[in-house]
Amino acid sequence: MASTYSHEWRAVCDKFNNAQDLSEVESRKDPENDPFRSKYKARELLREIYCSLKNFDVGENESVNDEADQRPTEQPVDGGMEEGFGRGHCGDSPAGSRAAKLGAVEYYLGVNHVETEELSAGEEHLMNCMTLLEKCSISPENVSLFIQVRNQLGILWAGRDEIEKAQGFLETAEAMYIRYMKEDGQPPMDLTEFFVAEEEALPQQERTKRFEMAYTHTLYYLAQVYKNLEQYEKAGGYCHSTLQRQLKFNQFIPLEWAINAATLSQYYITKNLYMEGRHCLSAASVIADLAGEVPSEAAAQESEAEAEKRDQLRQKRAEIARCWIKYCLNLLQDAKKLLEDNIGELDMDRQAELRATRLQEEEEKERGRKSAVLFGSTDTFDSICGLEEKVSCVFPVDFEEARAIFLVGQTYVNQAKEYFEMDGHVTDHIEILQDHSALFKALAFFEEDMERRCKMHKRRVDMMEPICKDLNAQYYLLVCRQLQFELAETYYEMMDLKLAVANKQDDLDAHTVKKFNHLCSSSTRFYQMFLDSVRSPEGKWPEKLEDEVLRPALVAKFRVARLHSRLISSSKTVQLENLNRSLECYNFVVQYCKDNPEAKSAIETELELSEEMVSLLPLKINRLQANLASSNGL
Amino acid sequence: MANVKVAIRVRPLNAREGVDGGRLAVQVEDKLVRIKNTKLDGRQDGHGDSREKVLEFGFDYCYWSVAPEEPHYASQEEVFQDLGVSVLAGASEGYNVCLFAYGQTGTGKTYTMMGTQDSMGLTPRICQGLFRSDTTFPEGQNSSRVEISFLEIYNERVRDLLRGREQKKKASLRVREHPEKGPYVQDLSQHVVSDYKQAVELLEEGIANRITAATHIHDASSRSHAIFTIQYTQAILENNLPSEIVSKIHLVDLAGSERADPHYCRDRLTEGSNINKSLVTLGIVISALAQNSQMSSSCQSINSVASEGDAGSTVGSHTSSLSGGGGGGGGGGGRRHCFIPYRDSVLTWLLKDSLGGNSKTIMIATVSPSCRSYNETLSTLRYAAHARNIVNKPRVNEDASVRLIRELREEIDRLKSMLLSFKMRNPSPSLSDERDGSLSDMVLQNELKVDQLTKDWSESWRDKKELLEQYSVDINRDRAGFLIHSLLPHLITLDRDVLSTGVTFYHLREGVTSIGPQDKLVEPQIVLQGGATCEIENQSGVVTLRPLPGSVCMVNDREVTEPCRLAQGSVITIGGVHKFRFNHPAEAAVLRERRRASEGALNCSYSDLRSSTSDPRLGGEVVPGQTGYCVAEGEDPASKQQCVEDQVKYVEERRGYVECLRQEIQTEQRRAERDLESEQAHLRQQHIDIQQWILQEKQRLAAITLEERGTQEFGVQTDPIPSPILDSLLTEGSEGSEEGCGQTVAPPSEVVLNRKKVVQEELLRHHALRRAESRFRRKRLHYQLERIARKRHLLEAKRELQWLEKALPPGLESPASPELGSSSSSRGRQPVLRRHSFSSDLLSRLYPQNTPIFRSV
Repeated sequence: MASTYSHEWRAVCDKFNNAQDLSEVESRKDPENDPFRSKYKARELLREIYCSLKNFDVGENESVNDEADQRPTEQPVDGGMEEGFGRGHCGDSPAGSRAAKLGAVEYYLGVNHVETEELSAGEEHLMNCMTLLEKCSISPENVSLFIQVRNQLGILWAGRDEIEKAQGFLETAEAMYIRYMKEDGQPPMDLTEFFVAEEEALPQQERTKRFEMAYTHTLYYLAQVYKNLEQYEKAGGYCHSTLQRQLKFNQFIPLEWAINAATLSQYYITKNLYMEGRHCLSAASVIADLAGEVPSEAAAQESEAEAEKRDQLRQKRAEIARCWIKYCLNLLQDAKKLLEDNIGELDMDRQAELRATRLQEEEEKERGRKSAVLFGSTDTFDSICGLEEKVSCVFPVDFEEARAIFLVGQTYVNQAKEYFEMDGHVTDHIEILQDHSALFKALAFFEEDMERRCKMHKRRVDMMEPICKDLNAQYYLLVCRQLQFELAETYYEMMDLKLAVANKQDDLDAHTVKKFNHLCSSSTRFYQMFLDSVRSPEGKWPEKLEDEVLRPALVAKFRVARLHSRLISSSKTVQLENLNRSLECYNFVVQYCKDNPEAKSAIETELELSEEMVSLLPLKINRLQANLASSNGL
Repeated sequence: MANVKVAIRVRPLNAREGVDGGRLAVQVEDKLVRIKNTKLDGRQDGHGDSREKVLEFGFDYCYWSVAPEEPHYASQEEVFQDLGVSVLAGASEGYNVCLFAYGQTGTGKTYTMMGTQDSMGLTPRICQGLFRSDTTFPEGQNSSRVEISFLEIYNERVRDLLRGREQKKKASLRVREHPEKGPYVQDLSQHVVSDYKQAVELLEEGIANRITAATHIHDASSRSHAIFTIQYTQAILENNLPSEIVSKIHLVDLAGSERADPHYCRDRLTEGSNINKSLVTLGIVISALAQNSQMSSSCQSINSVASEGDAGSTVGSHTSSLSGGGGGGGGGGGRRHCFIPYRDSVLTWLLKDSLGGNSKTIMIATVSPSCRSYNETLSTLRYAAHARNIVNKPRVNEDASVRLIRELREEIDRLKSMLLSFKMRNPSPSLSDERDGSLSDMVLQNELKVDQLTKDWSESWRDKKELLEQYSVDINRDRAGFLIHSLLPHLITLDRDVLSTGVTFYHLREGVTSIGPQDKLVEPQIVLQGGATCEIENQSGVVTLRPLPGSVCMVNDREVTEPCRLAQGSVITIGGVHKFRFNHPAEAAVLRERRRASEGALNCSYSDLRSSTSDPRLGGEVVPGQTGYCVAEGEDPASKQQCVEDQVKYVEERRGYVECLRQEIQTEQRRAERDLESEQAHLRQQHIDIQQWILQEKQRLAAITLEERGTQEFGVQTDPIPSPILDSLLTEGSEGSEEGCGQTVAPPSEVVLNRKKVVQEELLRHHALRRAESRFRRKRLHYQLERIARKRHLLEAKRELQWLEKALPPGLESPASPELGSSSSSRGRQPVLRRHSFSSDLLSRLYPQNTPIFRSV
């Protein structure tokens, strides 16, 4: 290997370092109007290296490179390639080494082209590299190249929407890693090491790190491939192992990692995997703390960088808090779903049942837990577990348990609101409030005392009503509508509860009636506000409702109809008035569906009921009229 | 979604593409764009490939701007006339408007949006239009204000394009939301402009500041999004109060699409090799996973009625943003919601108020026609076809549904069972008292009313002979009433207008009756306004409706396209507006007979009669000057001379009717008395039974008690029973529990248990008795009310009769009014009648729809 010490070889190495530097460092400083300047320079250098390498080798034998298009023109170099191009060069054989070197240059050229948006040229170079490698067997010298070239080709084809092709490359890369680790396992050479002097060889540790990183990328690309192939479970698994490996090899940016983990928790939550979800969230919180202290406000005012850092840290932490909120909320809501009877009340039998199955499952979970993929380097593991213990990951069965989860959720609500203030983050702030409201609602389900339950709903109203009033519907129409609808429903719920309480106590005194009517008309009012939001700026009701408001609007009408008929009044005239209004609303629904038959499918049940009411309510009205007439007229 | 319009524009071939011979991959035809993969074509020449090569997309507008000399070439002006004008129209109505240009780099976005010196693009034209419209409506000098801002988003950083050089070093501007003012960019400069020139100057200044990067591939390519925002404030007077309409027009020039899309895989290439630690897109994958499962796990729980999804998951819809591949957006019907902590792109965030709700959005996608750009063009077209989905959809939560629906079902069941119990003539004690009775009468009355009215009408306009032929009058004293049948099938118009009081009646004679507008060549038998046409054929009693093309016919709200047989009571809607009820007397007779059989002694004749008198419309025929009536028989209008005769006859009939009423009152009275008597007897019997039973039990208990203990106290146990079950209404029924005194507590023993049992049973018996009693009282009340009502009807009928008799002499002339002669022209027209003097009109105002009749047994 004398040649490696030769002058020419040194020149090649220098060029390579130069090219790397241009590509990795300099290119970031390229001006916006010439973004690829350094990359183009690097490309030139790589081409020169390629030529030099060719020249070193040519002449010895019939080294006709079927894959390389350039004709060897220069003197051969030493390095004894006497065997010529046999099959399956060993990685450390001179031929193998040469192929690997050429391959590496091809690889870098390929990446360079791809990065400068010249995909086809990039592909060609990468395929050249593949062809060169084809003749070699896997060895510590070339295994990195084997994997990385496949990674690149995988991305390339994925970018062209040929996912299956990408999948092929990446899965081969994965298999190669696994096989290599099984059969050999010693830290392989990094690609850059082809072009450095021996004394500059990387330490073992660094080699491992780089090699593992390449494999992490393989997994990461596979995650994307599976996602695109709609194999979501597989994709989820690969995402998880990617995160895990990042942590294990300490190759991550804390905030970014934390956000990814937090998002992954949301995936688990939707899959009902609360234990995994909680683990991700705990890890996210712990890792996010590694990102450092939030700079003080004063510091932020002094420097732009500090200000940005402050904003970033606060924002990301608030976002993780929001993921926690969703965790608590979904856990409560799912438990509710399991426990409720057909009218949405707590079902005692189901409660007992759930309690029993939970005991059984506890152990199995414990066992499953070991096999579950855990995050954490040694130093973070304990804190992650510590955080996990603060909130349960099993469905609550009674108020006490539900309350514990609720309180955790509420803490995160407050934490998230600190950053997402109303002023400046209107929609985010409101979304958090809506979650808070939903937490209360879920908790109320577990509360047996109706008065207290009613108070919880009152809290919901208190937090949403002022905001709903202040918000400018021109800009926040959707949010306004959501709030209106939710407020209307909350009032409805309170009304029902009030009535239930009164029924229990058997006294429907004037005060209760007044309260009831107030709640009833409040509910109506908000539905009405919602309905008014559908009108055009001139206040006209649209002849045809837009798809997205079709159902909500008709449902609101339907509810208003119901609400009108529920108002309590001792005056027959008022009763009559209310019933007529009610009929009018039912009629609206029926008539609208008659005029727009395509709307029928959106509100089948409501329509059916409205139709019946339209046919039956007149009876009631007429009777009332008759009563009224006879009491007046006789 | 009417608020999003999508347009496509195809640019000319550029020099490079022209060199290739300029093969075209794209075709435009009206609103369709076809794209052909010519590459594929070439490769597989002669192999007879079966792969589909031409794809088709439909859009709201398609512009072919390839070569100016072509006939359907779309110029800048044409594009403006469609898109620009609708932007302006939206803004002046007070909507926020957003116009996007989207497409690969070098497909002419900037040309379309900004244009060149010689051929202005949309933005300057819109500015022009804004100021032009301002001058054409010079209602006030300051009737509107225009403010302009221009910003650029490059690498998620916001830069003010109108603030010169001095701020260049400054960090990105922050995008924020204000509760009142909506999303805004902090510190963005706003420039008030007063004429077109100023606006264009600002526009040009901004463009000059934009970053245009030169790469090896593209000669010039925009690498940033540019948003030109015009805030248009109109001052108007509303109810004499000054007010403002503010609308924002966003004109957005998106960067070349591959750059605009943060999901674009290119990002992970750079990252893959450069930034070792950062896996930027991993987050995107993960969030896609989370979002995906969020959407797919729509569970069919009891709440699934509440389809639309949930509040709180708006993030899901927001993130499917401009750049997020529209296909995934919307549609999320799942119950679950989670938070995906990836910030929207600045662009989406800034425009979120423009992407839904009250704003109008126009997307214009630009493509190259060349077959070289097949892939890019296809992806642009796909994206544009999905563009509608980028719009945010409101999701509302509807948890209360379940309970509400259940409640309502209960109420419906209650109302129905009420009705049923009436029909069965079996007033069951389970019904709440207030609801029994008169209610159900309404139903029957309703059913018969239309029928009856029709008959009355035709009756009065027909000569005696025809009347005898076509109607049979059946006066049945036993039933205390009479029934009138028209023997021919007929149609009755149902008018939607509640204020319209006329009734139009069409006979359907043997053969074909055609219905349609008058202006047709062959005049139809039944003339309808509008384009509604159809034919009805009566073939020896089998009546078939034949819809004619071009007009929608519905039978019982179902659209019919084939001839269909009509059944008694069918409601026919022709052309969406004209509604008829179809009556087939022969068929109806059978049905009625059936019903009558099930109702036993009861018949509906009374209400038949009743409805005819109580209706104010009736007076009209004989009232002088009441010419608004239109009696339009399908054919053969009655001869005029006959009318007077008819009226005399009518008055006679009325007399008969009054007599009839009187008799009926008597019969009913007798019947009621008999009924009440028997009921009373039954009650008495029940009462006695209970007493006897109590006595028995007492004895039995006494025997047992004596055995066990010497005490006897059984009266005591029965004592507390009545009071708890005392219903305020039922006080007088408490005789059953006479033996009462204080309660003593007996030590628990078998006797006590025994007693308890007895007590319970007694309780039940008393309760039943009391219910029977209250039922009896209710009945009595009903009878009284009924009688009163009947008497009142009688009184009215009498009054009416008197009035009719008085009105008769002048009435002799009135029917001879020209109205009848021209009946063909007025056929089908709904008469409008306003009467104030008629006695029953007063009544009808009290009972707007039906006059109540108390008629339970």
